[in-house]
Amino acid sequence: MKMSTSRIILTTIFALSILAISAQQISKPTYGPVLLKGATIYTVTEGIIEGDVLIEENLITQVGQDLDGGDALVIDCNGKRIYPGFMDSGCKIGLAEIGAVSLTQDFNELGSFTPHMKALTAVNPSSVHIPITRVNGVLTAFTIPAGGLFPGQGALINMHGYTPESMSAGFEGHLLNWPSSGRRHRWDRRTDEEINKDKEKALKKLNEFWQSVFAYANISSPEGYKPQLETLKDVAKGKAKLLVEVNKKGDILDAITWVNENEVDAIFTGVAEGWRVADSLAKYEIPVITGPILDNPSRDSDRYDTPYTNAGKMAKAGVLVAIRTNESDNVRNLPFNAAFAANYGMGVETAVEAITINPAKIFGVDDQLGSIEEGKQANLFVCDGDPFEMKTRITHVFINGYNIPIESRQTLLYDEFLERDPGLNIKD
Amino acid sequence: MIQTTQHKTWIGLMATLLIILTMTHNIQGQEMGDVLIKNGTVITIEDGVKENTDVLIRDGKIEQIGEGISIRDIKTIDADGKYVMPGIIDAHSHLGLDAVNEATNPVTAEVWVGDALNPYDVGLYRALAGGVTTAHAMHGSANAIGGQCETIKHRWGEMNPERWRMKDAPRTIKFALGENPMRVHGERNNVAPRTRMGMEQEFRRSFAAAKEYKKEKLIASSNKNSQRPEYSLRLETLADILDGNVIIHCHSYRADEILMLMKVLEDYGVEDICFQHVNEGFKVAPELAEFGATASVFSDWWAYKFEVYYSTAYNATILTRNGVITSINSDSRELIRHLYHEAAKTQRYGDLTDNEALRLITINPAIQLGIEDRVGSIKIGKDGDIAIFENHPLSVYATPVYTIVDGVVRFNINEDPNDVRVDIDPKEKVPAFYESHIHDHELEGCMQGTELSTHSH
Amino acid sequence: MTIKHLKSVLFVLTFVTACIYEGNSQVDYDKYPKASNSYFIKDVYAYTNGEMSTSMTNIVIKDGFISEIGPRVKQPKGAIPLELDSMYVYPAFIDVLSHPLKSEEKKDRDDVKFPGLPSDLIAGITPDQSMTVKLKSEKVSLGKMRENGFGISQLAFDHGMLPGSTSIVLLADATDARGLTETTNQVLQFKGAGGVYPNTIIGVMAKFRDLYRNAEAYDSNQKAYSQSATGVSLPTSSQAIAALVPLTQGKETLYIRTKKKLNNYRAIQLKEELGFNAVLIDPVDITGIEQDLKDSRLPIVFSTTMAKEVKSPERVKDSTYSQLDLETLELKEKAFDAYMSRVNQVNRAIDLEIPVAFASLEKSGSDIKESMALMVENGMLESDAINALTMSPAKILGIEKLAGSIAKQKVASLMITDKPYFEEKSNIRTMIVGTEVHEYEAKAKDKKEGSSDIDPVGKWSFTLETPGGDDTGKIIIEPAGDQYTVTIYQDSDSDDQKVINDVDLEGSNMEFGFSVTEGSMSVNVEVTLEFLGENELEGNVKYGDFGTFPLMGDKTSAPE
Repeated sequence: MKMSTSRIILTTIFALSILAISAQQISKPTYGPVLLKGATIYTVTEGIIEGDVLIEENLITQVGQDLDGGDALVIDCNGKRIYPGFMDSGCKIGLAEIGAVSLTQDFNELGSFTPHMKALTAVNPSSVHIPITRVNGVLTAFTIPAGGLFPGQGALINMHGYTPESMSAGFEGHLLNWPSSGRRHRWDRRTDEEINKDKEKALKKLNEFWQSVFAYANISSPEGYKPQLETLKDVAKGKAKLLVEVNKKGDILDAITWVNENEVDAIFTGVAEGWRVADSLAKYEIPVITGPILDNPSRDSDRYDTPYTNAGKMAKAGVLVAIRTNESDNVRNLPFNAAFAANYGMGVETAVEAITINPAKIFGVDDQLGSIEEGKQANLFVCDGDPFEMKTRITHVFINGYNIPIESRQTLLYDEFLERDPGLNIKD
Repeated sequence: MIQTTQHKTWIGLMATLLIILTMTHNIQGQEMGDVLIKNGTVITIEDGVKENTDVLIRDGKIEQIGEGISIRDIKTIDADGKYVMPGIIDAHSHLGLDAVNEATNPVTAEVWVGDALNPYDVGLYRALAGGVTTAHAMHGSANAIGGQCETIKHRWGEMNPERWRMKDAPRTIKFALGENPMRVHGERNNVAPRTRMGMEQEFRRSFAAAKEYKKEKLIASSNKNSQRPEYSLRLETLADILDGNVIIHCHSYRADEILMLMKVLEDYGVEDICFQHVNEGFKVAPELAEFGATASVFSDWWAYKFEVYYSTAYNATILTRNGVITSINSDSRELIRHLYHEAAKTQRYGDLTDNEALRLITINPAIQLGIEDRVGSIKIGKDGDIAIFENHPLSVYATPVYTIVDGVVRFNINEDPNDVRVDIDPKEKVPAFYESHIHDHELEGCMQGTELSTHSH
Repeated sequence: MTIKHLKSVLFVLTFVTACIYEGNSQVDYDKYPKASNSYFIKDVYAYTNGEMSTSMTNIVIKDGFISEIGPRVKQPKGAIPLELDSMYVYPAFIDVLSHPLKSEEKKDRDDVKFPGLPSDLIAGITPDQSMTVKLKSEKVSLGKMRENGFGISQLAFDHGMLPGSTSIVLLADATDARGLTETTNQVLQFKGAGGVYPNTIIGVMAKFRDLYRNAEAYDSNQKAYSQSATGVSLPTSSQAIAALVPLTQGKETLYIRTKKKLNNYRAIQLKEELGFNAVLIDPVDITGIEQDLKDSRLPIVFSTTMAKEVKSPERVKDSTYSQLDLETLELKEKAFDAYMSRVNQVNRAIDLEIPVAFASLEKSGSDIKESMALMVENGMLESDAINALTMSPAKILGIEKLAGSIAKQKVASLMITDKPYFEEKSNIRTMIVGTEVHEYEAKAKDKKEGSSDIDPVGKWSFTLETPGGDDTGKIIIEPAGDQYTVTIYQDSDSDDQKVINDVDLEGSNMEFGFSVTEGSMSVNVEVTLEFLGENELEGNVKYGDFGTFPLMGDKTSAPE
């Protein structure tokens, strides 16, 4: 015990010295067995346990009381909580660096049919956004392309790694932007007729394309290089999932009919008006990724809190709900989105599930992620209170077993400028 | 209601409309209200937190703060177990404006967004439902010297924009530095300014012209025989700035441009300035403090363009700790609904105390708008603008339950209907569905109406 | 008779005299004189003092003026008798603002180097443009307005924020017979200049203030100069600013076209700030702001198409009520109430004693009768309706001594109908404008517009294209009085049918709706059909929120 305490102090001193040397570079993560001692463990799947968590290599190897960690670095977690890493089930992290600088925007390829575009290809492991995100406990994110009818494949990535492959958290999924019968935004000046016509046209395009995909999937040995069709083969056969972005009530119902008719294994995303058709979503067992929760209502006549309550209403109706930010710059706000959903009807426990085990289940990675269980990946964080609350500090972050420093460019700038030296420039 | 409307006759309908009309007039007549808030935890901002305390508002003003106030026949709100704080103030909003940018000229000091007020924008009600009672409705950032702004009170239900103005609030004007004006004029229209160097000269030439104009007017008024000089509303406004009658609110990001403008203002003897957004304010916090400039910042927005890439969410904390009067603003129809949550972020990013954090959305923006004598704290004699919360307003589980403006309850979580629209278009059978709101702030923020509105606060 | 009035009359008379006496050196034998400029109208009902007379009367018109009226008035010598026995004579309608010029030229903006400094012309600031001058130089046809019952109109330009000065004229064909008054006015529109300054409402407001203040300064400089020119330089100004001087002096009125609800407040704001005379034109919807408008004391001029601009009751039929969720029902009711509020708004303004009138704007007033009938049907008094088209606009335009009623000494501006105006089958038969008499045929009876060739009755088969493939079915249309009963079979071979009663044929179009219930879900189906000749139809079927699908059909048999 004595030993380990001194090691903590040493580590801290080491980290501080690095800070002093360089204010621009984030310190390197460390690797090696760690025993998190005496915490309140929010396992998500197995309730709340008082005890220890042992991390060895990239895995949680033991969860229990009075664990013996051997040589493991011991971190005293007395009075602290441990949570599985939060997972944003829809955002642009790693694909978008600076909004108005278009050459740093890698999520939107040209064309309607680009299902062969892979987000994982363009994820920038050095993006400044990544450390900023993970220090808030968001350790995994489904980062997605946008635009077009079939914009490509999103990738589930961890918030640490030096190559896209090493960041991959084991799921990639195709996206479909369901043709909308709504207005794009407040400044969409199309008439109702034009909107309807555009939607019908897009639906026709979708169905024609899907017929081709289906036909291709059922040919025994297709000829030629047809990546747009090839990539969707498994989706057409019901062997891979399709994420369908759909928001308006009528469109959601249409999309339900479409996925049922085409026997597609679908996940619906967005689903802003899910609360209006929650029973249908539940009946057909379509999982939903919704968000942002911190958003405006979709119609001027909607109650002001509609986006806050949507997730909770769907969950109550029996829909498996995950929460996303849909952000490019502030994926770090995922816990606060979940907190608003929690406060407006979802409840804290379900809201935590909506950013941990639920997305893991939806993406089919719940054997590795989404809870604190023996044998799962060591993606977790330690904090000194309710992680949704603003005053709570996250003290330790582990991603795939790596002990990640609680630093980002934004914390480094704070350290440098809180008490700037020199202060005021005095002339003469 | 439904049964009666089903068999509505023309005459019956007329009667209903008449009732609606009379109702509207009653609301219009009732600008100042009386209300007694009982047994709340009162966060006064300037005088500590008082448990189990009552607040009495009469004729729109806070009349009494204390325990056991008892008045007969007054609207009473039971705030037992609830938090009572001053109405939230947003120092940067574009809600409820039919036009935000007159982007055709780098200097348009003569325009005034008070002319474009639109009190029927449902976003205003949603702001009210987030506890916001006062907002600074601003011109956009397309121009070096944009238009004059308007400080409004969220008196939802009042149809007349005149009744939304906060009477006697000081005049304010929007300035803008950096990428936005450079893009609109230099990059798109191919006229100066295209650089931050050119930006400086826009201010210098404008102030020089205003000085000259003042001089000509003075000569004309002292000489009986001389003709009245050509009138210029633009130069009149600029002269008012030189005379210290207008508070400048300057859209800015980079440390260098912030220093530049302070130098220009110093040269022309102008003192009253609040830097808006000011993402790199933390880098020049000591200089801002020395000049006496204030700062109104985002809680955590960054990376939407190059000049905000080197931002930090700790900005508000650094500025506050360096003695700069700082506020947190929304600039967005989304964020304005939960400024209490945005203020709380300073407790995640930094370590502001509860009172310091709440000052960011109450008395500090009031100071920046020159209305701190009227609003921003719960104090006898101030306007009866109150937000009542379930749970502490800085908790992520805070829920606004009542919002009161001038003693009139304008938001009540339990009684308000779902659909609150006040101006209904009969052509729209069922109101339109908007697919995306995440981009609302890009389309309607600072660069609204400039065709360059993506990612450009 | 005031001096101003006399002057106006003289102005008219000069025109009339010029018509009669062409005593100059050369003669144009392509023209010939009228037989007389006096007319005698015998045994007609006349609308005077806010009502139609119950007994018949006679009217004499001389040189463009009403010279005699009364049952005992005899036909003067030299007067032409008009065959109008037992018809109804109204003061012709007065149109407060119209835009008679077809399309005004678009100004080229390409050569604007600084978008902040366009020329006045490009900025839409042309108050110096004069309609009076334009009318002299250009042939402008005013017959269409006259056909719809208008005898007098204030003509205005339509381009830009300050398009130019107006001219109030008699709607006569001969350009030299149009003179009525020298009064001109200005128009303000909240129109941006499109990409150049002023581009937005805030730019327009600021620019107007700037121009107005400059006009005041120019006026005062001119006065100073005329009093003592020594040591004072000659005042200068742009033509636009000079043209606004009469407005600042109270000699002209600013007709402000508002359209949007909030623009009314902007108009009032300018008026209160700067202190000119103003009239609000074309406020599309004043619901909820009536009292504020009354407090402003500005007259309100509605568009003649105002009541018709929204299609009437998008109301859910009682039979389908139970199929809608409560929220949708409430929203639809709100939309309906908002529609009714628009229909009734002129009447509410009248009840508040706001001076109201109408303007034909771009539409020549072709919807005026339908609009007025809709308002009368919903509670407006006929006398209020007529007043809003005659005396009230006369007062707003300041010509009430000259026009607006049938009385001695007033300008002959009369509308003569074969039945009282508000009777459904009434026709305008004669319009008298000054010295001109225009006659019209009665319209064909009972025929609805364009319905003549279409007979939808019979059995039709149809194909409906849906994403799930084509569906076929049949429709049987049977006559039921003026309307039709439609039976629709969703499947050719099944008996599953929907019967819809009381369907109207409008032109060649038919619209009806019904609801379909599948388990717990119910869907409203809205069908629109267009009959393309005898044997073909096409249309759309809207299935609730599921989508709208095209439908094509052929007639399979004639009525049984």
